[in-house]
Amino acid sequence: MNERAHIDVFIDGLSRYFNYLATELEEPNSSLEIGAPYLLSTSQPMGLDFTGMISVSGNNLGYIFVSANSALLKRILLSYGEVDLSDMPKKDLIGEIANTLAGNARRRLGADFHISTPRVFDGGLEPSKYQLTSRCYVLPFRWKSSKAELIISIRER
Amino acid sequence: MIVDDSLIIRNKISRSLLVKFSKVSRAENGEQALKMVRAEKPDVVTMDLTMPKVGGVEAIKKMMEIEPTIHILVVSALADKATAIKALTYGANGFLCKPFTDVELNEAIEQILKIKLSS
Repeated sequence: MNERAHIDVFIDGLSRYFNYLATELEEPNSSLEIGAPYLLSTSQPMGLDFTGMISVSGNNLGYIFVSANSALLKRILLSYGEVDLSDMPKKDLIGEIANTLAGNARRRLGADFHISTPRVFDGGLEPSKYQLTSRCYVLPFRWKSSKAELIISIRER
Repeated sequence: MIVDDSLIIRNKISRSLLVKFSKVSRAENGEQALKMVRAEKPDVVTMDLTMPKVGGVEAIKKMMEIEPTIHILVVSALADKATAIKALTYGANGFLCKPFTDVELNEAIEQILKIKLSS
């Protein structure tokens, strides 16, 4: 599977996730805006306020990161009916979103696309601390004008 | 009983289950769930698969040994058919893929309850 196909798998996953949120909120559309993917600059910190990371093994190797600003996570928590909008549920949520997107990718990438439980970080991450692939893509997106990004660093084994 | 490592998901499922059940217990992983299931003997378990300590598939296998009549709905992001088949083979009664709506969850729980009543 080439890089473009990998990106398409995760675009499908993102669309699916936010379509479900729209259904729950009884809204006519998902309000999701997906930007053009670009290559990550490894010389700068990556990620936004909170990041969920999934390690990938099996038929692919690498990482999936989902990062979002605090406002986006607060909006999703509210849509879930949560009343606690502190950092703890935001971290839980970003980990769950990362798990959902990576797990859903197995629909196309197969059961040998093994994923870890999520690790969650706050603040930007230093790319040099991770064994990122040479071509690591950032897929920026917005939901209800709040910013997030999906970082895809996987290669076929 | 809800078994999921995400607090948000435990809360979401709990809100739906409390409409149908008088008591809903929660576990953060398979290990905790196995300890609880012996004491609580729940009617229905919703089980995540990707969890720390004891994962969902192993928990289903062990749970079926402890309580063979237990009814389990897998609620997981792992969207491939092989995983769903594996979970069902080990004893789960249904599979719901994340993300899910409250309507889908309620339908899946209703289905599990029908299976339970007919068994």
